Amino acid sequence: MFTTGSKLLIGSSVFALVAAVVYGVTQNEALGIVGLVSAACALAFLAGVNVWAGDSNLSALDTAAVATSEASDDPPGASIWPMVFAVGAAAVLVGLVSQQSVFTIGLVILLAAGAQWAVQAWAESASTDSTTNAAVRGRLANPLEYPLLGAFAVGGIAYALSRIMLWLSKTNTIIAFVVLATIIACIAFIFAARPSLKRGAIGGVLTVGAVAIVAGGVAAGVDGQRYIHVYETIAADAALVCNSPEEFEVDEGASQTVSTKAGTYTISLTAAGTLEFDVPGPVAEGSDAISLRRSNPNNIVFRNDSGEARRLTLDFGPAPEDEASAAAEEGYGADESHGADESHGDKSDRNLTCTSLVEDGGAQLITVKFAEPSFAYADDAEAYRFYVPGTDAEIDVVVP
Amino acid sequence: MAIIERPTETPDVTNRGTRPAPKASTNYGYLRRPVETTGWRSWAFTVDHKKIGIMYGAVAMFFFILGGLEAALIRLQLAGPNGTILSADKYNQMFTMHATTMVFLFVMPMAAAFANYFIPLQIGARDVAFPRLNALSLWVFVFGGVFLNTSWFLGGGADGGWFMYAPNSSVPFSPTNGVDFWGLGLQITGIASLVGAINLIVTVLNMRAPGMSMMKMPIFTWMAFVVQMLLLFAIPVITVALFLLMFQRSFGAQFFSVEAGADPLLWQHLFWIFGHPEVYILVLPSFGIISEVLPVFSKKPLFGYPFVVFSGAAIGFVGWGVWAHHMFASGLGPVSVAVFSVATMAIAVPTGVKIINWTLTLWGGKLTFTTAMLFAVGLIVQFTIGGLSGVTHAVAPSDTQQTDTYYIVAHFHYVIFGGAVLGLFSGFYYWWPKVFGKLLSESLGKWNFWLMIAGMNLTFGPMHIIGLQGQPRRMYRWTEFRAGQGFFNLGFWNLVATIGTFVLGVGILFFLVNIWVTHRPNSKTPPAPADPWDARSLEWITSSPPKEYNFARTPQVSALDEFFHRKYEDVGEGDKHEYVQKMTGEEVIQFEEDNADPNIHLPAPSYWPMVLALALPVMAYGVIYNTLLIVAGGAIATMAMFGWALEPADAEASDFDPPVEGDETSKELSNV
Amino acid sequence: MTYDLSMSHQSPTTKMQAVETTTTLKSVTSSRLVRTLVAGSFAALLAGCATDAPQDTWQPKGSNARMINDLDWVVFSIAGVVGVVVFSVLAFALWKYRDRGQPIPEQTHGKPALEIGLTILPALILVGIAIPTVGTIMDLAETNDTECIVNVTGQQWWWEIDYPVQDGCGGIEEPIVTSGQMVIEAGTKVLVRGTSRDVIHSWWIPSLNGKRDMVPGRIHTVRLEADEPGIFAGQCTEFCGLSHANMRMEVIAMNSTDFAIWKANQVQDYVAPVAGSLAAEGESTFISQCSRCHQVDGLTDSNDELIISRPDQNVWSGAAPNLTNFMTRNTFAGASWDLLSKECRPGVWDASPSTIGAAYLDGVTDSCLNEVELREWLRNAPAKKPMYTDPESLEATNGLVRGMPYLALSEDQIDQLVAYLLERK
Repeated sequence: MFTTGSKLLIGSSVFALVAAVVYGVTQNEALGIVGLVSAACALAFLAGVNVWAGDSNLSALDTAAVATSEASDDPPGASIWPMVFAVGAAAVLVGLVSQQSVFTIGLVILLAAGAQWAVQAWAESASTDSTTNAAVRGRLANPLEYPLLGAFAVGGIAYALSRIMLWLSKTNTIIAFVVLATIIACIAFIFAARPSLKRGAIGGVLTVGAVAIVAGGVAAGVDGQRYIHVYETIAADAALVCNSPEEFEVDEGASQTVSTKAGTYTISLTAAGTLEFDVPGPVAEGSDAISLRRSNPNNIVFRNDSGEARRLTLDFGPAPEDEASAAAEEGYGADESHGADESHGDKSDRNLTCTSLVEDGGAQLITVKFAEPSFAYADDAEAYRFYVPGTDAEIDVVVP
Repeated sequence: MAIIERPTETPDVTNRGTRPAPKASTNYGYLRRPVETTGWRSWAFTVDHKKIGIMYGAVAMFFFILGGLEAALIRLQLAGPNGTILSADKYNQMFTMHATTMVFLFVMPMAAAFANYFIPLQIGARDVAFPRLNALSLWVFVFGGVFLNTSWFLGGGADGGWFMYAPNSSVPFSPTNGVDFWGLGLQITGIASLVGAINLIVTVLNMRAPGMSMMKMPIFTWMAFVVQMLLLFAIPVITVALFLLMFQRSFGAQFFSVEAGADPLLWQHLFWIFGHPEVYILVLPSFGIISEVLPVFSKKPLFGYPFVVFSGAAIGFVGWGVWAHHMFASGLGPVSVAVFSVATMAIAVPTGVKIINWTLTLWGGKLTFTTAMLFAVGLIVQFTIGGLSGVTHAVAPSDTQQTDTYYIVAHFHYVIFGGAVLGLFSGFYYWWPKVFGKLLSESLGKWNFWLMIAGMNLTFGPMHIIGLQGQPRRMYRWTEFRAGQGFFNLGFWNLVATIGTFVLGVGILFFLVNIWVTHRPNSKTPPAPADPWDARSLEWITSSPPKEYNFARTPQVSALDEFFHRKYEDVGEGDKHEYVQKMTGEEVIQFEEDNADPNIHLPAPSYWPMVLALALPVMAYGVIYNTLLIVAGGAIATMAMFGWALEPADAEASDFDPPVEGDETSKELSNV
Repeated sequence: MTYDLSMSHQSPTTKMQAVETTTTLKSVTSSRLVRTLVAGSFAALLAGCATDAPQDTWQPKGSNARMINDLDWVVFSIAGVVGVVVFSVLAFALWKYRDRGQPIPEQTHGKPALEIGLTILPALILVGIAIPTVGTIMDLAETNDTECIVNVTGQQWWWEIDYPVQDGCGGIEEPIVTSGQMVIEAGTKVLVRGTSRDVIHSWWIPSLNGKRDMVPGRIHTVRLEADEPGIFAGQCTEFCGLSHANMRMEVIAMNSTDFAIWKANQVQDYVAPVAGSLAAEGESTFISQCSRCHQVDGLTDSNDELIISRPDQNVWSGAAPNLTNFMTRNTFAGASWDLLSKECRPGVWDASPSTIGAAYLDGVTDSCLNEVELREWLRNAPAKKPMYTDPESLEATNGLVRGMPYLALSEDQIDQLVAYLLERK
């Protein structure tokens, strides 16, 4: 029978068809016609369905089903998901033309709302009893919602807190952290001591705290984080650092102890200003050079007993062409604060490695690996030699 | 897994007059509890410790056969010089996976099977403390084991040996994913062990029947309890090591890179701090089993029960101080070596105490040599040999000659096969009627026993000789030039060992045949009597197999061997003892059932343990193949954890189909 | 017959063992007699079963291994006696107390005094073992009395051996680098100072000393001393990857005269092949095909500049065997295959202590070369010894091989290389 709905659909379908004809005559453009004709067909189909099924979701032919149909169940409750879904869809569109992050957020909202919508719809068809349906929904959705929401809340607060901490200066960070921790501890104490406190009061305090942190985080994040200094490494300035007995930035806070490590070589700078080496087992008599293995990570402990802060440097031979030039250009040699003298400048084309500055009585581990045997540098008196800048101490290395 | 089910039939409207509010399970279905008591769901989602124990055992048995086949391939390869059955690569994978399978996927879970099944029964509890956790540990173990073995189909198994020494386990030296599978697989099975350990510890400490003090606890429960304590502390160590390995291999960390200043010995220390207690984890459950079996078939209590208990506990403590005896050759320095050498000898004392006590249990007894008893006596003999050869390499200088040779292989197979596996088989024969209600055939059982004993001595006995004559382990081939001359050279003994392997294999086949003969359709084996062995401990004071609720009423305990003392009365005077039977076992059980507790509450089954267990391999595949999978697995795991936490403790009326009335849910379960 | 006593008593299944159990059972009365018997049966077992397996741990040929072996005898005897006693008691109990219809025994939980006694007894036995053990550990760790230092470096799957400059070893003025075979002077206490370039390996010459792991980044020491000249076989015993089974080594001990000759041979100047000979063609093939990894000291290129091999650019471990004196050794490829033909091998390996030095110093001559296997190796090394050299699967090592790759040499090139290598001694 022609119900109200089917009349509307039939009318719309006819209208679309007429519009297509009019459009085709006036505009002579294919795409629009296709669209309008498609709309007309779709509306006609819906009209057909409507005529057959009636306005309810019952078959018009099924007269006995009224009592058992879902249409006789409680009407579904209110739902927020269509609206959230729409917000997500809007964000996706806005994101497409503006920023990718908006698009991503929109997509997440869209998917989450869609999933929630689907679960709710499914749960509402479970029974006629809306309480049971809510429980059904909870059983499936809660295990996903709780951790996700919890993670978002915790993550958001942690992120906001990190922005605040990075915005504060180094010292203030510590103060802020102590103060904040104290406040949290005090509030927790109060909550624990007064179990009769109203839920609303606790929730209110926590909400205020969370909002404060998030707001602070947003403000700090907008303002940007404090300046954090990036330290140099020895490798970046080996040519300069390794040839100098002075202290450089890389030497600050350098390790001064080695955990007792068995099975390593030891090279000591003695109080007399000479370098001596020791090995597991006896040192072979008659060898004045330290014999290290090729292509092997040789662990060497440098001990400094000289009374002054010193570093141990190893000369691998001339630096390869490209590295030498790079070292000359980028090295500290041009830096005004450490005006390199002549002798340093000469050595900048060497391939060096070294420990950082070791204080008197300290020790440091250095791992060295030789790619070539020492006879490859037979003509080079500087190569394959440990030395201590600022002293005459040196010791030759033999790599068979 | 059917989370959502459509009704199979529509509700009958006419009979009820008006349309009823359809219950979830009868209409659309939703996440109702899997309350079925038959069919695969009743096993897959069960929280019954007995069903879980049986599944543990079945899966472990499968892995036992798998590991045995790997062993057979290894021995075939080594039967003659320059073996060509396996490539070097496959051989290395084979021995790695053989050890890993046998240790982590057979002996440990098989011991867990016994512990799961019998601890609640032996202490008079209706289930373990955390039934759902129990299901979790089973499924985590199963999926971990399967995950580990999928490596065979995804580029090859791990090839670094079960000890997986760094840096040989790093990517440049083992570029396939085998080691990743190994590390993550063990991580997963480690979770299973840890969860199980916590569960059983709480069970033993809190759920003993009234009257059962710790020193009245059956000895198997005691030993299993010590093992759970060991697991509780050992698994975290290997977990740390495996995390380091995972970060080294998958995320570019440098824990074992010498160039970065690392020391590869770190791994060895971590591994063996876990690895040595692991040895006792493997062997103590079997010690417990035969400490149950020997008294039963000697008609005498365990000699020196407190000494056996305390020696077990002593092994549990001292076992932590001897790990470096696996590293005598790795250059620790003489002082460390001396200390660990002496400590290792010290641990031989409590082990010796056990052997002495078993022997003295037999002394003066009334011995019947059932198959279970034969396996128990076999354990004493074989384990003693393993123990004595163990003392020879507690002596560090000797160990530097013996370690990493076949002598060590011989030693630990005498300890693990002779100790752990024979004990487990003793347990199979002893408890089979309890678990399945039917006695296994004794004649087939004796074939099984003697073939296994002959096989293991033929296999592992010659390895003493092979090792002392200098054949190292883990070599995919040996050559005639190093085998010596004469007829009895290493080639001869290698061949004997290979033949022995097949004798051993046939012995184990007899066990499987025995099961088939007993349980095949139309089997003529009658149901077992309720107390076939004239047993002594609590698990027998109930029907066989036990009801889902274990005991009709919670037993009251007044003596160590409670069941024995309920059956027999000492009518002798003064020092003269004379025992007369006052009740049969059946009568004792009947008495208990006649006085059943009126209300029995049992935990409800759950999907969530299995869902959570499934999430772990997903995450592990993610570590290997794609980080997104970690996220997906993590999401499933989180959902499962919350679903678990939010799940009501008991099944609700609407979980049943048709729904049950009122408070009947627990009865519904218990009365099935 | 079994070899290890503790084993021989485990199982009453074989008649022979049952007989032995009962014989020893009668003599339980006197523990001294038992000890003699046990020691005697050990000797008999040794004579009966001991084949001359080159890696036998119970045939010490030097002071360090002998110290271990002496300790072994004590420990194995004690273990044997304990085993006999335990199994006798057990067998007796099993037989005596089998069910013959006797009444149910007393339900006793034991006698604490007996328990304590039986706890103290094993403890005392173990104290008895512990004392000599600790002494031997300390003795074996002593390194200050060594007279010669030799470095070994393990890598997948061969050992590099070098002799640093020292007054020891009878004086070494120029470092010597060799591989697979360590030559020492008999009667000299040698300190092996070892490490590894990649994974952990273990240095083990059973007839001279126990094993010592060689760990990358660490230096470990182990002493060796051979009583008299001979060849002592060994093998890497820490699992080190794919070709672990093919990583072997030998120690060759010789008298001081022969050792001096060997040292001098190792540092001889390079002698180029006669121009126009097959070996000369081999030299240029070697330079083009092999010298990227394999060092031959003194080898020069067409500009008369020394050729320095750079294995670190081709091989993951960064090393390849130095082939300067290749034919002075008699095994190759991780000492896993013989350079000597089957006919010539016994002439060196089975030589008497007085002649072995000279036989070894002869090196590998044209007629004695095991040409078949050397050619197989040159033709396709990874096919002979499993190694990671497939260029398709080297991402994990940045394209560096682990082992010697397949070089696609022609048969002509192989002929040339064999001719060239034959002169490397």
